[in-house]
Amino acid sequence: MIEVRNLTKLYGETVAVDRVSFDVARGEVVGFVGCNGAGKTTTMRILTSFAAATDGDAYMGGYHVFRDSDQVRRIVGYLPENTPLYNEMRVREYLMFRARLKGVPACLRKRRVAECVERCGLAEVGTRIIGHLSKGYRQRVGLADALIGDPKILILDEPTVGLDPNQVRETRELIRELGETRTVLLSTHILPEVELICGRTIIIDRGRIVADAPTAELMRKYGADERLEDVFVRLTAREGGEEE
Amino acid sequence: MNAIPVLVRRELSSFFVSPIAYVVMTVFLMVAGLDFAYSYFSAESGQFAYDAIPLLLGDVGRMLIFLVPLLTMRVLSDEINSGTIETLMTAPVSNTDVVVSKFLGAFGFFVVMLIPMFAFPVMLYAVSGDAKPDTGPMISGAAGLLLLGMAAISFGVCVSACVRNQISAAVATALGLALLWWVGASDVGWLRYLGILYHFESFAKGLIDTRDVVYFVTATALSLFGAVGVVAVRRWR
Repeated sequence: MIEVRNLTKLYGETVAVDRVSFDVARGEVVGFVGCNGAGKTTTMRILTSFAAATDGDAYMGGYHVFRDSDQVRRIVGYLPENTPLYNEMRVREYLMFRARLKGVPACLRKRRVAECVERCGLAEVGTRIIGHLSKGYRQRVGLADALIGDPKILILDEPTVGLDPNQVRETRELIRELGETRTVLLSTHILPEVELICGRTIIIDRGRIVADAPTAELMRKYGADERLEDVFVRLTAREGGEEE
Repeated sequence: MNAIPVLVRRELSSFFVSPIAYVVMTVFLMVAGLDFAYSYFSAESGQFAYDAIPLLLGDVGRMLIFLVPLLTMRVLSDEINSGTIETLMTAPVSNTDVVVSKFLGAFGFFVVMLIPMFAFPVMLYAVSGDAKPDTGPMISGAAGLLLLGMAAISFGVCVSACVRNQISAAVATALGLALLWWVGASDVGWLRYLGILYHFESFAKGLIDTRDVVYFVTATALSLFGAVGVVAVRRWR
């Protein structure tokens, strides 16, 4: 469903993503893990055809992210980092707008919005102004937006940041459910989350992939008996801790 | 292309919940109204019917140089700054869809802002008695205001695509438009031809000159083309 080949992105002299390659099969839920600034968001932006890669190719459901970006945008649901939303709009109004924009047919639109509102637990804030919502609700509005076009592929950039423990649990449950019928690539630095919901883990460090394996196998291989965190630290630790 | 009506609708509704848009509209109509009243009281009797509209149009044109930037400043820079550009540009829309919608949204609001100005000709007929007001400048003036607004707004949209800070966008747009106004007073022919209000003058006098129409249409097309380019280039950075 997702094919990434030697993807490279330079910002001036800085290499943000360095010859990254991986595949995600249909119906997989894959965790994309790395430190801040490791290149997670940049990769996701290229996959959603928001940014252009300097070199390399990526295909989403067989469509090239740059050349067929219009097709890619139709099959991908994206939750960007920090959940940008139009603060002056009301929740349901925003979702209706996004459904229209994503070409959901008029006859399905109301039902689809109602479904997403229900699924993401937004029923009680449907008529509230987005700017007045708590971080947790904003995050869920973003998730509802990602789902509204009924995408085959979901790209979620830190979907559980800023949620309280109950909401985190609900969101994980939702993502797991979504993963049954869709392909999901989610980034996070909350490692227990990956252990819980992602069948496979890709660890990226300084723009390069340092590990890509089923989560359970990864833990076995590196002899971390219990926690993915140990694996992560071992793979991404810096000598002398010179960065951040 | 199907995305344009959806985006324009959102754009327009965002204007109507924005305090700055109402401030601009209020200032615009208030100054225009005072200007109109002033020319009534200061004109010699009889002259008012002929002079009021051209004088009003001249002042309104100059005022737009400074008010239009306040309307267009947020259209793209706010999306870039708040990050909503990311949700916008990952929906199935083209760069052209986005730029054209931003332009049409702001232009739509501008047209709404002009509508109350219909009161001026009505009042003019009511107070001028025997002296028949000249209808020419009213018609050409309306066309001129629409064309001037169109060019200024598209320039503002282009500037807004370049910077992420709204205030910078407003200042840069106002400076750019003021520069275009200033070169219109030049003695050098081709420089004068670039002057934005220079091309508006004949509309205020009651003339619709094809050269002026061509100027405004060209300026609009170039600005919007530039804005699409800037939006496209953003993907590469």
